[in-house]
Amino acid sequence: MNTVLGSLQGGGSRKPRLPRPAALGMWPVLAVLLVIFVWPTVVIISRSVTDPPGAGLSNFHRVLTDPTVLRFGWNTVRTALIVTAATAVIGYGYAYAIYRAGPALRVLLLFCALLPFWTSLLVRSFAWTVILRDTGIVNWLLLRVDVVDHPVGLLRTPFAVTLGMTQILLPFVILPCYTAMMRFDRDLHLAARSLGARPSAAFWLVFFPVTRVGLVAGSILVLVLSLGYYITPVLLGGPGDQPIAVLIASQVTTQLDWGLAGSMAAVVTAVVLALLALGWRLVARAFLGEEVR
Amino acid sequence: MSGRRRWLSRLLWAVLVAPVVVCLLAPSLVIIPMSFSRSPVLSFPPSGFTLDWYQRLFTSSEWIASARNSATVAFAATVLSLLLGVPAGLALGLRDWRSKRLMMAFVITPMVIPTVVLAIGMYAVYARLGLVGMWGLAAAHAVIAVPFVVITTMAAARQLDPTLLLAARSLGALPWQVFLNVTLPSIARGVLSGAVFAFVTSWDEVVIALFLTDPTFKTLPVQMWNQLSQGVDPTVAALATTLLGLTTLLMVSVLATSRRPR
Amino acid sequence: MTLGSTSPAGIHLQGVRKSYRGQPVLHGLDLTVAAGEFVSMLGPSGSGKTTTLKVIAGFEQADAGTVTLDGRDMDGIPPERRNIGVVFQNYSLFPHMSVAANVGFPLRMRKVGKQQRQEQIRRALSLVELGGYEDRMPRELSGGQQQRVAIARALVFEPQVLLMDEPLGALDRRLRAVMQLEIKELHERLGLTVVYVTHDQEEALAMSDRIVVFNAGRIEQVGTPREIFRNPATVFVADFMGDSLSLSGNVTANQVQLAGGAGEFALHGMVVPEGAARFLWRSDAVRVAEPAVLDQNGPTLRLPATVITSAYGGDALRLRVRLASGDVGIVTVRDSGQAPPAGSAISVLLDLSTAVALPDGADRYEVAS
Repeated sequence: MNTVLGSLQGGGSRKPRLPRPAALGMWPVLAVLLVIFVWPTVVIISRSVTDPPGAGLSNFHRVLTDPTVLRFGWNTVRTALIVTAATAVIGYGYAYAIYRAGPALRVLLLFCALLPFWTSLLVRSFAWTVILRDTGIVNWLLLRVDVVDHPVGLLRTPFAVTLGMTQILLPFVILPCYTAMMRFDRDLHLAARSLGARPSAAFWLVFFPVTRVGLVAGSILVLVLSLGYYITPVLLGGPGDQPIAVLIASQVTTQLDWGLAGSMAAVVTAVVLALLALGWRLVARAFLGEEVR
Repeated sequence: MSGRRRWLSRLLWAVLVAPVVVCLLAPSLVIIPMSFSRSPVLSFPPSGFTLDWYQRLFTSSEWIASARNSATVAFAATVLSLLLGVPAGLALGLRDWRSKRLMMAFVITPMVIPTVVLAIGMYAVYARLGLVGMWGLAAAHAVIAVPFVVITTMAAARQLDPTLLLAARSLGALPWQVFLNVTLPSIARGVLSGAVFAFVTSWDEVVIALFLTDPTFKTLPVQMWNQLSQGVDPTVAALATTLLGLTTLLMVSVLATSRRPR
Repeated sequence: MTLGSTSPAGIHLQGVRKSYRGQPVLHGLDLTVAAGEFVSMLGPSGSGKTTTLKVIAGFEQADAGTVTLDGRDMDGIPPERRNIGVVFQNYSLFPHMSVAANVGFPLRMRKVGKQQRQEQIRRALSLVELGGYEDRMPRELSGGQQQRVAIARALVFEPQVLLMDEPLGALDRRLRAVMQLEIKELHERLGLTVVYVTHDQEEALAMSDRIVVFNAGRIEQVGTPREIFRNPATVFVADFMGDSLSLSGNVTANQVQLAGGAGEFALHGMVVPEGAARFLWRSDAVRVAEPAVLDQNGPTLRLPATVITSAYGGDALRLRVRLASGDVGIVTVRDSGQAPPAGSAISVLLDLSTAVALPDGADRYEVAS
């Protein structure tokens, strides 16, 4: 037995081969997901070319030319980009604040970052409506300090949607950034300083490039998730601020136009998967702890 | 000189970080006072103090029934995703094999596909599979919960030193004994946190639930969503506060038990 | 300009104190390193040697005391303006930069023009025999190669002082031996001041002009390798510097009573203050002979001993022995083809003229033998 252990340790390969099909554990989940996940998704996407019968690519033509679809699409992309940029800047900065904080403050700041993560999406979106409505706390404050003399319409605006989604998605950037920063080797900073870099140069030339993986991975995830957002825009946005997800749902429930819904679903899914494939290496590293070379 | 500069930079950080903290916490905190306000419209500042909305919440058969439905669905979805996710997480975390990364990517995709796309697909297909009512929703939620279980189990399994399993064998343990005495205890914490994630995911899910439920079987988020679109009354705030209290409790207990000496 | 053309600087530490969270790690340190000298700071982990290095580099501020470099007070001078090269234990190469970018980093910080930068990078890399590796990334290099890049990076801007914090700690034994000689050669060629932190006494002995032995935040002894090895000033230094055999006893007049009533012997001209003392021999200064009772022939003692265990070490054999006084120590003998079995009786021959007498307590003798 000693020789077995010895040869394993000396063998270089960290994961020993065991005489059993290694992927056995994958089979149940693959089989079940094929039925309850892949099949429905394939069905809905295939409706894009089969509904109405013989539709061909006509539904996709509509997606690319129909002004309603384009307006909803533009809302989605614009909001997603703004939210991604906002969460990237705020999330990285906040993660840096956690990183630099003392032990007690660090726990507190982490708690603040995690609490929304655990709070129901619906509850948070609803809470924003309470905050932003004409009789909400923000307008109350503005009226109290006499900045305005009648309530400012904040709810049902693109601003409300962006604010709500930014807050809700912020933890997805904060956490991987913070993880990357905690892994940062402090000696690299000292090395940069000893080599003549001032603190700001050490930050931008060494700290930021090394911890950027967390930022990129988190931002990809935020971008991908925000492209499919539904609840928050419906509750916080006006009728003109709705994203593509809302249009897809309404095509199915009110228009019964499965073909158009299917083609929009196909486009969104394709974009999401393409983005994820592009950033898969970084996302896998940041969120799955997987070293992909 | 350096003391003063440090003080200044701290002040600068505080000024930058404080608004973010406010934004992170405000939505969670602002509904608490609203739920105790006498005013039937949710306006700030809250006026007076009452527990009426809580009384209304906890005596409403509709709210109670939907909470029970949500719990049932979430429980079933959690069990299902554990049954599927734990073996997969072990297979991904313990060993290297061909096309493993592809499999990993596949199992993770339900997390990122827009829920609306999943929802309408399931809406179109599940009835044909006989997946209706509680079971349909539980299956759907298992789809989006499985990735969490796989990720947490995989992370825990990866921490497990493979030679430990061989060491156990060399000490005379049979394979199933190794699994029970070495593998399972080592990954238990990861599985548990995966289970918590799975439960919360299902408990919280609205979009798919909107499509797969009917008036006879509503979950709590669906009930809340209907309430919100009908015009809000502070009962929703009372519910939100209750949920917030529960999740905070859950989060603190998870944080307290998962603290590892580093 | 060629590498090493700036004149090396001396370092002077006076009364340096440092505490972390109320826990003192340096208790008023005084140390002078001459310009061009190779000084090793040796000690167990947590003894304060790395903290001292960080204070010199400017990574840590001393709570009290002064650090001068080349006669200039370093108080309040940040590390980037000290012009000190630092080599870290884990190399600390910037993982996102190529070898050339790493080595060029200090030049970029000093706004050296691109042309000249490339020339200096080339020269620094050829100095550590890594010419042609410019475009590699750090992760593509072996540990030894990474360490050479780290050294090139720390030398390329011609610092007056090079600080090295256990630079070979992560390398295997054989590579360490090679790198030790290379670093020493670099020092001799460039003539700069080197402060080298290590916990490996062999490394310190092999490389240094002088060794500073640290223990619990204090300097235990400063001296040349030979002085430290042959004439340790304290029991701590003696134990830390390697295998030894020691006798504990009580000195009265010219006689020594061995502990446990195991006998006595005459000091034979050796001057040792009265009281509890330890007489210490380096393992290689002890000879082994046929078993006998305690006797003394001039300065040579012959003591009965029992072999506890033996370890084969190629050309020599290390024996762990217990003396009649109860003292346990290690002696090194030439391998004769057969190791004495455990429990066998032998006797050890100890020459008082090669002994170091140490106080068997905390204080050191003012007068060494």
